[in-house]
Amino acid sequence: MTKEEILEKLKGHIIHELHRTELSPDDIGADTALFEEDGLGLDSLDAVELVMLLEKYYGAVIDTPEKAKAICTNLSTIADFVLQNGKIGA
Amino acid sequence: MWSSKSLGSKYKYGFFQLLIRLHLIPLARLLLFPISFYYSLRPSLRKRCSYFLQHRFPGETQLWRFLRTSIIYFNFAQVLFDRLLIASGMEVPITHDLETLKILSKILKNGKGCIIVAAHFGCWQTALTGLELLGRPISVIFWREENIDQRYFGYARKIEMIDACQGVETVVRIRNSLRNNGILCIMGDRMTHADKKFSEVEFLGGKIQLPVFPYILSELLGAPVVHTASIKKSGRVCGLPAVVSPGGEKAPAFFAEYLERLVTEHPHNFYNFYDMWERNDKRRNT
Repeated sequence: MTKEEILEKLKGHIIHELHRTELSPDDIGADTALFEEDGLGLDSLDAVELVMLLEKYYGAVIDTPEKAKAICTNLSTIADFVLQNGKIGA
Repeated sequence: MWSSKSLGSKYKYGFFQLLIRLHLIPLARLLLFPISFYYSLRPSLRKRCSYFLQHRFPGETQLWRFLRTSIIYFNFAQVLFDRLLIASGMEVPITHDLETLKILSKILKNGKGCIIVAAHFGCWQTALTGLELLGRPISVIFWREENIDQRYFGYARKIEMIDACQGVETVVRIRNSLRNNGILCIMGDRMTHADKKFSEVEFLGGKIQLPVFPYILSELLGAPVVHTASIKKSGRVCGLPAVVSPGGEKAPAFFAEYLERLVTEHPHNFYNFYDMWERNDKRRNT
């Protein structure tokens, strides 16, 4: 799976599983901040769902809190993390 | 929404810490009477207590309300002092509710941890130390606005204090705590700025908003929610029977009913000194 494919899938997760159905995939840039008010403005419950779906769909476990913030900055950083740490087919 | 304005200034905490260091604990306890009574005399502080009393005892005379305010502030002063004792490395005697310990042990056998959703009622923090008996790691979610000595309390008891305002870092700490089959404690009776999603429920004849975060966390991580409480009786912290939340959409209303039973039976042990009903009343009037 390429980074672009992962990015598209992640956008789908945000829209459908994090219930941001007012957004379209084009509204979510790879560099859009996830938890900032001027970005997607995700909240703490979204954060729980995001961490859990990375485990569920990609086998990518964020093991320490210290890494979490850098990994979940935007979709691009998450996709990089999934590529390096996930258990996904090539 | 609740906003933090602690009733005790850092100078007063410092004074009581000094008395503890000098082993003048009986004197310190004695001083809680005049200090809490002074608080009851201040109109602004009486008002903070009045929101709850108006709902719990509607139509009562001003004299009764004043007496109840005095009792509540005195009880609250004891709670804060006990917390200070524990933060100073001392013990406060606790009588456990055996049924509660059984419930928690049974849940922890599943290995998915347990979420305790408590309220600002009774000796909520002192009672946490009683959970150490279960031999599992304990963590507490706190909000940055809350008094800093709460963190010292955690350090003194090797309780992990998880700052609720750290976004995904908070989430990973919570998940790790529960995956480690730990006990995670959350105060479930106040909305804070970190809570964007809530449920509106009936409480003492009006509508209040309760955060849904603990219950969604429970669903996602498979850790059951338990409600526990304790009160102080004859110098001992006594655990009250715990109840297991049904989870799901009914969970906030179930918690509100549980809370209502607690304040019906123990009306002078409820420490939410702000108008829990305000936002809803305003909304209805506009």
